[in-house]
Amino acid sequence: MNQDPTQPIEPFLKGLVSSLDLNNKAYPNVEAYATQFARQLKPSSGVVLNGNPIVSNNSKLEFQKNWLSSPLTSHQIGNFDCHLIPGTGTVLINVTGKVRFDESGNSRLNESADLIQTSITDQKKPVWGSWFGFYLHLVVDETVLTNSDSELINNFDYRITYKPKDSVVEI
Amino acid sequence: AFPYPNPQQMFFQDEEIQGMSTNFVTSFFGLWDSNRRDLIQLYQAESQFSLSVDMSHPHMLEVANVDFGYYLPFSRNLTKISASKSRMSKVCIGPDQIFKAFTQLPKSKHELVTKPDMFSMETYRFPQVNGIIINLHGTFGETAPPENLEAFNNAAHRNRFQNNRNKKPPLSNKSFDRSFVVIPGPNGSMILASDSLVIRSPSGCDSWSKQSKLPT
Repeated sequence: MNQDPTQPIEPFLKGLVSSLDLNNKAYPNVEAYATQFARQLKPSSGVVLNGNPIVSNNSKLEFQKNWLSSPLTSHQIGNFDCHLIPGTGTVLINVTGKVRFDESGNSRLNESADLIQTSITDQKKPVWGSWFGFYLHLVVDETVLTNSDSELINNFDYRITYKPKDSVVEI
Repeated sequence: AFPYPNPQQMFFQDEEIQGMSTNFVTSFFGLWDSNRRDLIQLYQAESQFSLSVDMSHPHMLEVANVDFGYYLPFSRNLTKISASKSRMSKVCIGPDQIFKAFTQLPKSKHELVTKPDMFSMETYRFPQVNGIIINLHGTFGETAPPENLEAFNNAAHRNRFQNNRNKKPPLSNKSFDRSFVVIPGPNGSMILASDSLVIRSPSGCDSWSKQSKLPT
């Protein structure tokens, strides 16, 4: 127990969170883009967003479809901690930090519900709103310590813990 | 639209763990606020406890200058600690270490029963240990300084440039996230295999209250 096994967790979390924040610029089609979101989820992962469970036999796919329809996000990790649970082959990780949403009215695919569309060739820049607080709790396979890019997330529990009063995007 | 514009304050994977987890949380925090020593029977030799402080977490604007001085000596915020020795030593393992840490945290009041709207919770099964995971979020009040000031005084002593050895942090409300792994023990008892606590500035309960709507 002289070696600290938890070192690989931080790059794993950064990769996970930045996959949630991807924009679609680098991807040839919607599918190639959407399947990047939290790609370390297992198809059968337990996913709960703000107390709402995803009920589906492919929760990963369902989560990715849902996430695609949300506004662009920008997450910053402020804190994380983890416990290896002896004899289970799993690591419990809790992450807190802040997240802001694009308030421009466009979806991640650069589409808006406005009837008069601006030219598609216009690059739309996100208009970031105020910071929200988030908490993310993960149950991941111990393989995260050696190869963090495989499907290894058993549970993904995401909760917004602070909502700013001046958020424009509440409808 | 954000995938789920209507936040649900509580999530229970099924009815059985709804009863278990609400009972557990109510009695745990009853004792946490009144007599932490009585909680020690929940922890066994391999049980783990750690806490971490997120000082950058967004919080209510009317709250200023929240002091985390009592918590920082224990904080295992792994984004800020790189030395592997201290990353490992900041996890308390077994009832003795865990109880010692508990005595060094401010006394508190969680109004779970009288103001349940201030809290939100998710629970689900953890089949690898035949247990359940409970994640609780909310706000508590600090009612008195810690019983044991050893860690606080040591930290203040090391920080000689601030000359704050005798200055006690003001008590205030804090928000928190706490995650428990509860597994069944012998004779219907419960064992806490893992307990992790995040401490942050007060953030209210707007993000899960009934009238709340999240980004769409």
